[in-house]
Amino acid sequence: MKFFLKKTLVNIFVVFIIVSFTFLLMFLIPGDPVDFILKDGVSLEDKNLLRKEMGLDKPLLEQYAHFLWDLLYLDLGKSVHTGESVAGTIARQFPFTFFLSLLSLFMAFIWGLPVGVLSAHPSFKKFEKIFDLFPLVFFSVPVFVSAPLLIWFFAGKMAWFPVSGAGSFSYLFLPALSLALPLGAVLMKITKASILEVLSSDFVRTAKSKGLSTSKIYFHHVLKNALIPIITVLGLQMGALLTGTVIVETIFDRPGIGNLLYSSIVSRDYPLIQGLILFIALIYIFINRWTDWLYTFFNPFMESS
Amino acid sequence: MKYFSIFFLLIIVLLTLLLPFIFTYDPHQIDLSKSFTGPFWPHLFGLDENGKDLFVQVIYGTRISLIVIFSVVSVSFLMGLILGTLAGWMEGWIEIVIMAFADLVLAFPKFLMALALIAMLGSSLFHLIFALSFSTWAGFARLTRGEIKHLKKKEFVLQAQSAGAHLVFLIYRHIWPSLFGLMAIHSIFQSAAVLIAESGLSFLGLGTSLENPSWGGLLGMGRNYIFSSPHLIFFPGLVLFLFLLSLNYLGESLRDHFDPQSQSS
Repeated sequence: MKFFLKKTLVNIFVVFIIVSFTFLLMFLIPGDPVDFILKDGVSLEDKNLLRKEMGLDKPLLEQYAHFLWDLLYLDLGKSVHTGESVAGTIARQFPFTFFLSLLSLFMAFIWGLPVGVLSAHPSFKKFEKIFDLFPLVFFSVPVFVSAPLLIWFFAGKMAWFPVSGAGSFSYLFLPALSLALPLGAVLMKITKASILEVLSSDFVRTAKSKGLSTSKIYFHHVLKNALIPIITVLGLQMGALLTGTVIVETIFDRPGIGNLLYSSIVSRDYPLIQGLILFIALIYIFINRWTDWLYTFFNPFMESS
Repeated sequence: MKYFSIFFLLIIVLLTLLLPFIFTYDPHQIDLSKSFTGPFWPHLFGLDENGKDLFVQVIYGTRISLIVIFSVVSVSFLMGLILGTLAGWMEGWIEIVIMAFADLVLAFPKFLMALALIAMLGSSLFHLIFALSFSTWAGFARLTRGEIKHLKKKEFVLQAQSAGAHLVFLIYRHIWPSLFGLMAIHSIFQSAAVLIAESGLSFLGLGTSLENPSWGGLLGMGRNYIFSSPHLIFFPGLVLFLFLLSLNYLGESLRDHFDPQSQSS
């Protein structure tokens, strides 16, 4: 209980710091934020009016308090270009990113797990060098290389899938695949390492001395025990997945928070950038902490790292 | 394989350094009549949308990528080494403050942190290096601090201390050299991570200027012509892939050499 309380306090502190960091980001903008929002040739009175409206004329601490207060009501301000509320825009775009991430996670499992399981199997020991090459190679292909090539081949040459946009499952396939390739590579590595660790533990030796067959030990006892760290370590890869969506959604011109972040950076929509960065950072932290918790839940003897 | 990766890295670095002496033609030479031509001799990688030689552009792009990698990794290495040593040796509140800050930085994905900073600061080579260093130093600091805490209690350190070695001398002469292996491995993996982040940002057009595009910038321009001229994606992508592969392979074989115990990254 005490441990749980301490964790919660730390989490609240981390969230607080992230909120403060995103607040301070606005002050990194060179020059006057008002100048970016308004077009040239606007009178000084109008500028002051906007400044007052945005609360930029107040002292820093008051602005900060205001920012926190608004946040309690999920009010992240308005987009400069569309005038829509930032929170509403994010809420509308998030499902697209969510399903893309979910599908790519699923695909990473489908192709990463079996290869990882096979490569750790004692009877495939002689192919170890070849199996080890898989994660190395696929980890070295960034999404911005694989995605255009996938588009060129599967959407262009073969014309099996649509090039860009959003709609049915066929629109989701290529973006998810390009995210799943490196993710699956990481999964393979973790799977192999995790299985090898379990293989060297005492209970496997006991099972062997009891006369159980190798494949029975492997598929019944070892895999079950090896899966837990695999699932938890995968949570840590969510950061890579989230940042991957920024690039992939941009390449495939799909709706989603990644594409939204890109377009808001290009159009200098600062309130939207701020809101998105806060949102993505919070999701990332949330998944990380949750993974951490899961890890301690399954390994009660281990202090979380 | 190991020799291949070292060989490839060397070739890339050498080509980048020697390029102005080998190739007499200008990377900015425009020949619109030949735009989008595929590979042919002597243009190994073909020509881009303006009829510029892609091979020369890739090699010139290496310069930007190498400058970014080298600056970010060395700045982060030094910052991490010094702050990590401070944190590990002093303990107490200095350690808490430094490590809290490092943990906070590590709580953000590298690419996102750099994207956030560049979104606000605007894109330039300096901002790119700053933004990437900001998220890279923390890993070095965490590694150093852990090792220092571990080494501090070793006999050879205690012995040197009791023999009256000056603290700065002790750290510089006895402790830092023992860190070298781990730090070198971390540097190589971080070089790959920095290269991916830099290329990703440049791909989105948020990296350095478009006049001298890095690998990511070339890929970003090439994707607009992906159906008509896939060679604009294929060749820069291939070079980037081989470079990353070499770095990752080198990192892994070094890790197996220095630290055979650890399996996963």
